[in-house]
Amino acid sequence: MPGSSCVIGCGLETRKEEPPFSQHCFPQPLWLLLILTYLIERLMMCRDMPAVNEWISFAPCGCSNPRASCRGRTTQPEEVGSMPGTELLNSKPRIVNPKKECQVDLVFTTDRYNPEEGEERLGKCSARVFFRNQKPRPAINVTCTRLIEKNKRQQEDYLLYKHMKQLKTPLDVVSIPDSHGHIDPSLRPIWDLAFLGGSYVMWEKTTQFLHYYMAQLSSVNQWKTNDDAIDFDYTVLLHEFSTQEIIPCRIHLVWYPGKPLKVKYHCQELQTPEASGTEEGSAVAPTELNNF
Amino acid sequence: MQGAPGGGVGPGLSPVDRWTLLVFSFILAAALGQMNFTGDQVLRVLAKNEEQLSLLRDLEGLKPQKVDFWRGPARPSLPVDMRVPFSELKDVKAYLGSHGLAYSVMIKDIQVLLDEEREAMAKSRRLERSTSSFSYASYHTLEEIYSWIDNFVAEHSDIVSKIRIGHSFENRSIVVLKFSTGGPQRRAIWIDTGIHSREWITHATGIWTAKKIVTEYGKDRTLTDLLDAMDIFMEIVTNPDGFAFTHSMNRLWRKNKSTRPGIFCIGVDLNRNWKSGFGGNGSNNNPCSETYRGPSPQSEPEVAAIVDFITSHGNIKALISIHSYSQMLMYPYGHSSEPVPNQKELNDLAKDAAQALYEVHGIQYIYGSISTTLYVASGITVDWAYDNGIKFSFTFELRDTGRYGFLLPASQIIPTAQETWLALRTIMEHTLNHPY
Repeated sequence: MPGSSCVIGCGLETRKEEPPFSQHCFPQPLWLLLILTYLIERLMMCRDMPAVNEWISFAPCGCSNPRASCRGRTTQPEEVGSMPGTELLNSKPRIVNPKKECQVDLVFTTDRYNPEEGEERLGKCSARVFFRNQKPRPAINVTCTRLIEKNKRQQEDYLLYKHMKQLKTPLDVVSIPDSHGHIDPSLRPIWDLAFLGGSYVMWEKTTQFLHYYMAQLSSVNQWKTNDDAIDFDYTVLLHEFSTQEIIPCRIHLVWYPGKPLKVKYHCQELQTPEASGTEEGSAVAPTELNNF
Repeated sequence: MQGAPGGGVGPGLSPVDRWTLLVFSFILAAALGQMNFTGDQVLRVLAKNEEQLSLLRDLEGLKPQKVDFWRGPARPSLPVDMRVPFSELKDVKAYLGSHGLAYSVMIKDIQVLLDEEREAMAKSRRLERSTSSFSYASYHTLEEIYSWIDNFVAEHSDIVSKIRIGHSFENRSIVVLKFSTGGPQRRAIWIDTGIHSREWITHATGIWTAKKIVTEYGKDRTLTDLLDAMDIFMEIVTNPDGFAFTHSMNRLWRKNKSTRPGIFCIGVDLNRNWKSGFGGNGSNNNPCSETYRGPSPQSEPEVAAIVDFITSHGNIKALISIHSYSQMLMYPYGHSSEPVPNQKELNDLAKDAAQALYEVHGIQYIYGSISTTLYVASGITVDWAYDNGIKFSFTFELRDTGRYGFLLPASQIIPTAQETWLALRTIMEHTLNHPY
């Protein structure tokens, strides 16, 4: 299957000089995973093919601290149907200009969402992630081979979509996973879809210094499936690693297989000491519209 | 044999209410230990017609207190429930049989039922009576952990004792376990878990590790040699107020619960409150921040308690502070990238410990100094420990790497604890063999 590639954002500059850098880079386990989860969505978009059925995750290195040690990471045991395994094969961070820009090259494998019994179909990807000037929304150029064929993927997306439509409205559901880390298998697809939307938000917020994880789906505000699309309004708690802050984000996503995913969101700002009891609640209307 | 306490219910109650009330008052009475219902049964009789109904009413009148109706004779279609004391069972059943009254035994022995109920109520409080029935593969509340600690100390009093080193902001006890085979003020190792309350895997690992230590003493050569020469101190719930809060209100709470007049936000990051590099980068002056350092070093009672204890002990040779998540094993400094004097030794030791950990379940940890491996952080525990002469100061970040993060599934508790144990053992062994 021919490789596919997609360029997101612009402004990839080439640099002639090669500043000395050690073999080491600062590991940020999984933070770019989340970017890439969204990323593959875009990848598929470029080929006119939204993919919920190919999930990418990996553990790359970042550019915040050039001296820390790097290592390849193998997968941890996962439950069936859970987030795919990851394998970082090779990673070459290039710190172009430490305070201003940061470029990370990665090679990684992908796994199928809901892999079948004994199946070992790994896709192979390489990506270049480019941060400029501590700004968020890094530019990403990713190329993959051996992904699932387009038709098969469309089929599977549609099956997943149909399955989700049958789920009973989980409005009384709070906290996935629960305090003990448990996710009810029947609620798994909801978490996965929430994660997909969350990964977009995380990409929008990630800089070379700010790294996010999705800690929890804390509430489902709306789950509508009547107009053929899945209309999902929910709140997630993002964990930003360098500040250790927990950031609630209200996300509204609309998914129909074959059409681009639509995501709107609004995240709460960090409180200042002057704030006296006023908090932006989930009633605040989303201010960012991000259709693509 | 006296009448049932609830026997005098008025006609206003429906049969269901009456039943419920009677059962409940029985339970209550039994719980208060006032009555014994051993062998008593509850029979259900279906009267087919008015004639049979009146026979049943006669039963109640024949010998006062022979039966006690929980659901009295009303209409032929409705069942009649009656409690029959053990002593009267034979007679009553013979009476029913001779008059063709069909009955079934609803409750074979009331006392058994009452006992089971009482047991269930006690169990529902989830306070285990011994550590062998305590589930090491689950997360627990503060009360359950403190209860476990008391049981644990009682069961292993030859090696373990409990020391109260202070109290938290909200006045909870701060408790340390001491593992010792004797000797005054021996060289010792300090381990703490739970300084950040949302990191539940750390408390769970601490509990499992405590159990492992007493189990391995006398079996594992290294651990036995260690405890024969040194003591181990373990503080499992280093932030009890925060931990209680993660159960009651906010699972992702990190700091303690201290408040100050005029300040809107609550809590200080206990791992930024130590007197080493206090106030530097990697801690925050904003009380609303998760890394708020507090007004001054050791301002927090939870930190001050440890400082006082370790300082007055004077013979702590290794300190290990356990956090989650990231899968890392690190040594000082966090506040700067300046290497510590014995950096090479610490790095080699970390490497060995990470290797030992990896061999258990294949989980990979990164290792290095805190500032170069994780991030710059000032006023942290291990920096303070190192600056106070504790040469072997380490901090762990346990599983995982972000997939579940703080909400690590309980199914991973034991594997995590098992692998971490090997790393701890490696560090403790090195400390034993390199006295200073």
